[in-house]
Amino acid sequence: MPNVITANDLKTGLVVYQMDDNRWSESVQGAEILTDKKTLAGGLSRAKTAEDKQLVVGVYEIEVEHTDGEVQPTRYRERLRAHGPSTHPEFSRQSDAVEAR
Amino acid sequence: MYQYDEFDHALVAERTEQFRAQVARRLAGELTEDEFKPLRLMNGLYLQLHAYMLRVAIPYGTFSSAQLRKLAQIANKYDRGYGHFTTRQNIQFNWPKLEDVPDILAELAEVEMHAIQTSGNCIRNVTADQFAGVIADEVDDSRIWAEIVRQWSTLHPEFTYLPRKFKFAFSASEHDRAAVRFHDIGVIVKRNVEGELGFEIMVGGGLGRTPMMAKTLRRFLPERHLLSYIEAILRVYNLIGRRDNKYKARIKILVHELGIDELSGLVEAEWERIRDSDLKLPEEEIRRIRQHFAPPTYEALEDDAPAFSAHRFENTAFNRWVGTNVVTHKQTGYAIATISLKPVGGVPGDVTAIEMEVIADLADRFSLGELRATHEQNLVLPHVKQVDLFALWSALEDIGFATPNAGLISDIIACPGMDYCALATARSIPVAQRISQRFADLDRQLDVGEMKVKISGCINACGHHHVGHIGLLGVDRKGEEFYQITLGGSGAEDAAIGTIIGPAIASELVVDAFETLIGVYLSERTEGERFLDTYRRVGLAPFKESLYPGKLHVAA
Repeated sequence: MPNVITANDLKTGLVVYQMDDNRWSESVQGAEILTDKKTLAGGLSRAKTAEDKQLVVGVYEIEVEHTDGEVQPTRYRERLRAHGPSTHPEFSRQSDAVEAR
Repeated sequence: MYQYDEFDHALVAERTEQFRAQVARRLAGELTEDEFKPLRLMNGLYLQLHAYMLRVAIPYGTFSSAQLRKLAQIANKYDRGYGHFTTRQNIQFNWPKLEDVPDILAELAEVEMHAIQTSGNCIRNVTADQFAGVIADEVDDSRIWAEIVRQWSTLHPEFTYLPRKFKFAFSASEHDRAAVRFHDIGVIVKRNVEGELGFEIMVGGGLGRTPMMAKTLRRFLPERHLLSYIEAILRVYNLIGRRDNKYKARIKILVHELGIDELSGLVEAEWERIRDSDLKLPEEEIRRIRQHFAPPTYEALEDDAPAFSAHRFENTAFNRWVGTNVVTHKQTGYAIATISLKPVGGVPGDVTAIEMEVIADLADRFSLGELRATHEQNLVLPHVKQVDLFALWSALEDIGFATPNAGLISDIIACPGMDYCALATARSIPVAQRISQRFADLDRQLDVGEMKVKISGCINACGHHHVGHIGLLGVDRKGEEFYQITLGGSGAEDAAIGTIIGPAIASELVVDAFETLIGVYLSERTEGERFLDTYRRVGLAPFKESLYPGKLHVAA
């Protein structure tokens, strides 16, 4: 199963995903997909650097899958993180254009 | 209401500026998350699933319309337009930005509010009966004593790094509306046979993964000794409470491991040393605090005035709301009105900024500007003239908060669950919404009668599931949400910890399971029996037989 790397943004606290250019996206659709152990290790290492630089908090990897052309976390906890509270669908950012920071 | 003195003002302002500097250092990269975390927690700031969360204290649940308006402004200006009232008489904002939090705290300080000690291993916001000061059956206004403990415990230097968090609750009535038996220290204000005022002190209650009912440490403690005695308890706990394992660090574990008699011996020995120290409460100080809680000037009114009775007679919906959500006030002609924050399909405890503004206006119009927050995630207007109840109810109807369900099956406690909480294993709120939708029919709710439903999204039990007449605990079963059902708990004066009925049930079948349990109750009950009474009489068996005859899909 492919992985992406996630964390929370230091300033806003919002859920973010690591992109392939070391920026962080609020949408999982913008995340860099890491398909093997080697790229995952490299991605985590870059993410730790971002954490050390105090850009993001609590870096870890999650499993994702492709459904209907979209990247979806496999675990429901991570789906909730990606889409926001299920009781507030209006707060979901996943359908918006990828916003990098 | 209590008014800050110069010490309170200075302390809150100083703390806000301290935290402003700490946030600046964090944002500048001078503090790591590990270094910053204990500092932010001391100021009520969590990092949750989606964002930071700020928990603001409402000491003993009493607050003013001006304070509620400020909360509304904060929700609008810094958050996403709403707040969430919790089971500990706090309000949480779910989306603040870190850089805004010092400004939020400064704005809160303007209205004598703060987030100090709403998290961390310290003495947390002191809670009390939401009807304190206005209910006829109380011995005294328990908020006087809760306020004394609040002042003593605020930034108490000796108790800043306790083994674990520490919660106080106060009640002064035989009806326990504050779940005092499930707090680290539960205090019941009472009078002895000589008529002197004092306290029953209970210790070691709590929920979480090891639910325990508090045990009485002292049957009657004279009022002047309140602080010296609880300081003795805290000292013993601080010294010998376990610090090796956070799951065994609450005082309930100490009570369990030592036994109440041995703990009592240690507390008494410590108390002997300090009982006549500066902690002994001077009468003039008690009087000074008591004055802050002096009853407002009420008008001389009669109970059940014709205008009020006529509205009840003419309007069935209003009459029903009076029946469920209005309680007799100690002052004739007045009433205590519960504003249910549990509309059908709503999120328990959530209030939008617009609704907060309306409720603040209603508090000004009808309740002398005063409100209460309840541990059951509702609000209360404590001083409503009976003749104003109809106008109040009509205004609440307009914002959807006139649901006549206080104490009924849809008046559900639910923790934020996995929709917000980083610790959760399953969602709570959507289950509460589905149950309230299924049981939306008010006639059916009234027929079922008193029913305390409490839902937690993890074993930490913020949703009090152990003490629900029916409790639900959300668990993760191979990546799916399942719910473990407990029956027979109670957080009230008939306190009990519920019993797990059987294997956890899949999310989509939980509401059907409720139907089954209610069906068993309705067929088994005798005249006047609540669900809890029937359960206690007939036991788990009939409920279990109906719930698990093989027709429900259950987890292995």
